[in-house]
Amino acid sequence: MKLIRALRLLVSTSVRIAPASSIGCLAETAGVIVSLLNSWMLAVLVAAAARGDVDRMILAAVVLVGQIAVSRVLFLVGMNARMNQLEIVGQEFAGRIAYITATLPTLEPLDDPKYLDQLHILKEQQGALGMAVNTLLNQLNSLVGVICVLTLATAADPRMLFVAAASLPTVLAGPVVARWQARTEAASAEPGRLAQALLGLGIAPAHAGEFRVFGLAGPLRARQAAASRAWRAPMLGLAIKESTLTAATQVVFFGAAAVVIGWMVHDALAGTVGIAAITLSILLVTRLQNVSSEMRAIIGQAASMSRTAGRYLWLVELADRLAVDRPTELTPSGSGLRLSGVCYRYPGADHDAVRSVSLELTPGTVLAVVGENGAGKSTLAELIAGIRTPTSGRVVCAGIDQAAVDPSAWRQQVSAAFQDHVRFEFLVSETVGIGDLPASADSDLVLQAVRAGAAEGVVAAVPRGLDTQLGSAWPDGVDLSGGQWQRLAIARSMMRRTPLVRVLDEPTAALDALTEHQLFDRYAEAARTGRVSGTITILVTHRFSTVAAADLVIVLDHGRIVEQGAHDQLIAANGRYAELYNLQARGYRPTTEPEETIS
Amino acid sequence: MPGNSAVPGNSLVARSRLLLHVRMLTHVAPGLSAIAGTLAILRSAAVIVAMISSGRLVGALSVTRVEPARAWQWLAVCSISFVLGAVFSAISRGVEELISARYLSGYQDLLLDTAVTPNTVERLQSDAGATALDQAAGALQHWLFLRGVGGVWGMIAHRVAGFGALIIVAGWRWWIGLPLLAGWLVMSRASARWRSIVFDDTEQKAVPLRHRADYLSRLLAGRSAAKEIRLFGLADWLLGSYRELWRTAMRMVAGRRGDGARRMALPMLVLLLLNAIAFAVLITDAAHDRVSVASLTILVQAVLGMSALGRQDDDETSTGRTATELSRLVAFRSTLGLPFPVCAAERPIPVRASGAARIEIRGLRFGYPGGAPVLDGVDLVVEPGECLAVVGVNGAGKSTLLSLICGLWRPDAGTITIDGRDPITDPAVRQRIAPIFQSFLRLPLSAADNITAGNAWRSGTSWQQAAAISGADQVIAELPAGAATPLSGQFTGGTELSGGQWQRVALARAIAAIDAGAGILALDEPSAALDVRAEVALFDSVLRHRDRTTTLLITHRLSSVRYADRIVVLGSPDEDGGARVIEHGRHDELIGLNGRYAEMFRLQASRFGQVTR
Repeated sequence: MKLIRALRLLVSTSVRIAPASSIGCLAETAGVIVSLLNSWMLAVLVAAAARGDVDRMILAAVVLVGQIAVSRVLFLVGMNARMNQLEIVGQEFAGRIAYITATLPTLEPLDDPKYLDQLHILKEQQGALGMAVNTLLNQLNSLVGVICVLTLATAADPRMLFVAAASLPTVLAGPVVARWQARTEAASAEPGRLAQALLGLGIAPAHAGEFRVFGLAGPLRARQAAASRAWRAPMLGLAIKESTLTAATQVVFFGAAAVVIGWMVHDALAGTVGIAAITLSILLVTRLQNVSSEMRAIIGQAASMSRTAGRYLWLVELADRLAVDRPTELTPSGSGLRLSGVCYRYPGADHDAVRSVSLELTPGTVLAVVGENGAGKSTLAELIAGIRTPTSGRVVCAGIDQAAVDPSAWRQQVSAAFQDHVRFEFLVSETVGIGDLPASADSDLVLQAVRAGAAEGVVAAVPRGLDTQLGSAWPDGVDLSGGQWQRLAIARSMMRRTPLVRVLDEPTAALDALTEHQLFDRYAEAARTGRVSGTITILVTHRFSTVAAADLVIVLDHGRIVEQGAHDQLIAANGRYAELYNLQARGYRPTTEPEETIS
Repeated sequence: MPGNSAVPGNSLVARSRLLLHVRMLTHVAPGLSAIAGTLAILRSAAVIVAMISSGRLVGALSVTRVEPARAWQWLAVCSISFVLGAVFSAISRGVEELISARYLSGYQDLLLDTAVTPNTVERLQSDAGATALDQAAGALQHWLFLRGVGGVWGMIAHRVAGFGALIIVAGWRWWIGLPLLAGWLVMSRASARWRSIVFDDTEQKAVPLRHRADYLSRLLAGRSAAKEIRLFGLADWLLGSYRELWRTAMRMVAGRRGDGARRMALPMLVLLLLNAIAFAVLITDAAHDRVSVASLTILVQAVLGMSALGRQDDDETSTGRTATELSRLVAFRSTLGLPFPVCAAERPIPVRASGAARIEIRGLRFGYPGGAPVLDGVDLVVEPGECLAVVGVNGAGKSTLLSLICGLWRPDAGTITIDGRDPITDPAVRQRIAPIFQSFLRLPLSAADNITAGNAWRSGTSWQQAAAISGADQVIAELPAGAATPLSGQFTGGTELSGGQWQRVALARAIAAIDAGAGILALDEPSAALDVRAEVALFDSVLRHRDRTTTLLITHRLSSVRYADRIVVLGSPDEDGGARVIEHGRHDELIGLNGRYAEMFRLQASRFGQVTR
């Protein structure tokens, strides 16, 4: 059953990681038991006073006072241990979740709408499993408390069990309230998201100008407040329903308690029930009332706890299911890159993003892939890099079939700089060096990569060169411009000196003329050395200025290769390529017609 | 919450923060707060009455001559007080939830107002300002803050119950009641301090480690780095670093928590002693029949019940945290000159002008706080209706110049005027600008709202005309619900647009602003992420309508500037130092000048095999 698996997961992980704290957490439970002595000793004290038994009174008082101290100490120790434990376990699970997500073999699960919700929640609530441990401990304490209270109450007078039973409606009301809450949450989810999103946009420094210039400050607040109101609206109904139901169940409980206590009073007046028993019973009425709300909380939290743990277990199972077990040894048996009928469809999409692409490239070739936005260029780059698996067709490099080897082994032979590259906020040497982790400690190799990527200017511009921390959120960190980040990304892709394939995706989108020129020079040089070492360089771009360095050009449109050939051939052919090229180049040509519109 | 070093050592400060928090509560929900407060007091009163009546009941049953009538009487009172207390609790829980929701809305509004109301952004984007905003926004995600919003009512109930118990004890022997009060207050302070340490990242050395660890785990789990992690095989390395950082941080924190707990030992001993004395006296009195059994029962419950005065539980800790965050935001607001509570949202000021605007910049010097001057000595006049291109290398200050024209930053020296008025002091003239920034605003609202945002959503604004001019009407025609479709996949019926499609919406927005009276169309690197066709379409649209407005085009791609009326080149004459206008004129003139512009143009054009003279 899900709950049992959840419990086993939490307890075993907790004990394995921090056995000492795990035991310390039980101190709190002991404290709960000790604090219940309170009521018992009070009853004894009162009964002894009624009888005039001073010795017994002193004993009860001593135990009462001692209990105050002991239970406080136990709570202190236990709570300390619990807070440490929840963080330790929480971080351990957060790390595991992050790692498993990062080592799913390909990107498909991350884009699949089937998995998106779960993955998103796992990512957003990485500390949730730590809180689940916290919940578990709280539940244990509650449960122990409930058992002790019931035991005490029964020992006082068996009729108290009726009172305990009268708290059942409260327990039964729990799932009903939970359903109402879920419905309310669902109704307020979207307005809540909108309110959050508008707030986020309002705070973002990047949009400060637009809000002021368009005069949107006041209207934005009004919009955000309206979304907030819509978020709140379903809560009124919930509050009324919940309060009424809770009040009703409480009236039932205390009514029953009054009846039972009245019965006991009747017996006490008749002399068949002692003072101790009736005092203890009255004192335990409120505790018994808490019994029901605690049972409700335990049941409610058990559900959320097993949901949380269940999500983790789902991820583990997903990773197992998706794991590939293929050889990691690469045995090259040929040369060049060949794509045969490669197709790719994004999970949940209704058409192919890449349609039957076939290509044959000899080692050392420089290929330019052009096409408009959405033509499938970046997808093709990711397929070649082995980050996505083609839905059909084969990718073969140096005689090795991509589908026949372990993905990480394939990727070792590839290097790339992606269009949406990450701005790794590490030291500059690390940000570049991770392009080839084993070599990242060697600063000579890192510098070589920096040079190859035209990024010496970046290293010179930052205060501590390779040892500068990137990202102004960190102490001594610096921010870089978009262009500087891009040059580092390209340097990163140059760390692997002789990959079989190097893919550079839209490398010059946000650079100024001078840097574009420098970079272009380096590509030409990298392409030349690549020709020597046999690396196939693939440039993915929609800026035709970069295409000049290539030996071969392919034009993609809606995932298909529509034109293929060398630059001059394609210009002469006057097809799509020529049209797009001329559109871009016309801005640089001398002309007496300043206005040219496209038809 | 990161970097939260608010240990409530100073109770005066803590009290003023709590008062601020209560002011906020009464501001967002005055009626409901009154109800919640009353219910809290009534709840505690019911508890006290129950305590007293249960004692009297026991007493009535234990006297030698039992009077059944009295016993039943007290049973009735006891039962009714229990029932009423429970009903009040049930009702107040619902009321408290409603108040908490309003509080959160109010807090969001406060934060949003702080970010969008100040005229200039210097204080908002300084280190301190950015941190303040970040922290305030982060609080909304933190469970402790959320818990604390509604915690004050429980606190009130407990304190009232505690004082009721105090009155009972002090009524018996004041010299036992008052020391106990003092003991519990001291214990409360010590408890609060320890809990603060437990819930707080006060270990200064551990905070940066945790931030770093969080960053690494977000990289690992997130979508943005997924490609590079797989390509370069970074998962193991990232996980190893993450674990290392976290373990070190926990060691520091656990040590500090242990110390804090040990410091509670003395207050606990003192309390133990006071309680022991109280009980000793009580027993002596009972043994000598100075207190009845009824009173004994009541007094023991009251002595134990005084612990409510020293109670430091989740309610107290979380309320303290919420109050601290609120007071931090309010303090930040007061440095910006903004009031608390916040004013109602103002209606947008009408733009009482139309037609192309004139921009005049004289002797402008500006550097970001703490940095070198970015612009130094810029002189520029843009005549109404002119189309001006501003070019320069990356980082030359082109975007900064636009920010200054928009009145976002105060120049260090020199003046900027639009139609002769200063955009910083005159918010209305700021609205004469219709900008399209490189990463422009993408509102998660309907397409129509995204466009009419150009006219601040004033009633009667139509989007159709602007959409037709910019080509956004074609985009809208393809949307599932037309112009009412939300432009974000996060919402039902919503859809995501591509870069080129968004570009058209942004242009429509700018045109709507022009229709409403804007006189400057400002484009900042508008085509950086566009493909060829979209870029061409954009510039064609812009050029078609240039007579209605002054156009400012900022770019580094020189292919698009040739059709501007005038081109200015921003750059610094020496290698460092701020930029100013180093060349200006028409394209042919600048090529003839053979200076910076000509060099840049030749570089870019050479790739196309066309080299101009």
